[in-house]
Amino acid sequence: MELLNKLFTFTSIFKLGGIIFSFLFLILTIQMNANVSQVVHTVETKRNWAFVLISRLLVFTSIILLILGFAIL
Amino acid sequence: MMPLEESHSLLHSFCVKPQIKFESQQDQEEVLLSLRAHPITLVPPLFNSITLTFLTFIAGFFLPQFLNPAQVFYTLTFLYFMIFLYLWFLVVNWYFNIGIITNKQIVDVDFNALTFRNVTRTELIHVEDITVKVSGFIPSIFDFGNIFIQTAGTEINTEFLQVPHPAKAAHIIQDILKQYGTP
Repeated sequence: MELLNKLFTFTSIFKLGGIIFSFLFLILTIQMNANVSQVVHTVETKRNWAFVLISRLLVFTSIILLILGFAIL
Repeated sequence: MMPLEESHSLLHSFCVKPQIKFESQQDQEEVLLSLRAHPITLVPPLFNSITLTFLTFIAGFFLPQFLNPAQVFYTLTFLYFMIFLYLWFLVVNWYFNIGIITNKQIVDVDFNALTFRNVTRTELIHVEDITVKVSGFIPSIFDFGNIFIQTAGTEINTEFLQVPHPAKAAHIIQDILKQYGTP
């Protein structure tokens, strides 16, 4: 029981949750970036470059968030 | 038929002769009309994100009681990023869900940033009927609704949902059909 109490403290659950959700965000943004990169060839408009750029920035941000998750939490 | 003049309105959700191209566009094929959902349809999710941003801001005052400063920073960054991602998915889905009418075919691009991309093409000569449906209080005020394009035989019917000025769009499509839709 004591071991369980040590393992499942608020901080440890918080850390685990933070890292799992950061990882999920990374998968979501990678998936979104892949779909956006494909659809810009289906419909070509003047603003497509901005959508691709922001999608890639979001993938980059989620990678940073995951690294921060390991470092800070 | 009135000659179509280039015009853009409502955040490019209703464009006549837009400067866009699409996959599998043939030579001599000209894009005459492009339709997206009315921008007003983005307002409810936008309101949700504003509420979430406000709640996150309020949470910033309470979190230091439970977490250390680094954890507070991480949690708030994470939450703001989540809200931005939600907004971004919304914008991307809106922008790439587009209906294109050319002088040869009707193309309906259904796009979801996470799960699917579906492109339906119908040649103008196969179009049989166009139905416009505007129902509800808000759609009537802001003049947006659905356009259903029925096709002959086993071809998939096309639908443009929540597009602005549906009657005007249907009228333009009818004109295009009269001019280009005969074999």
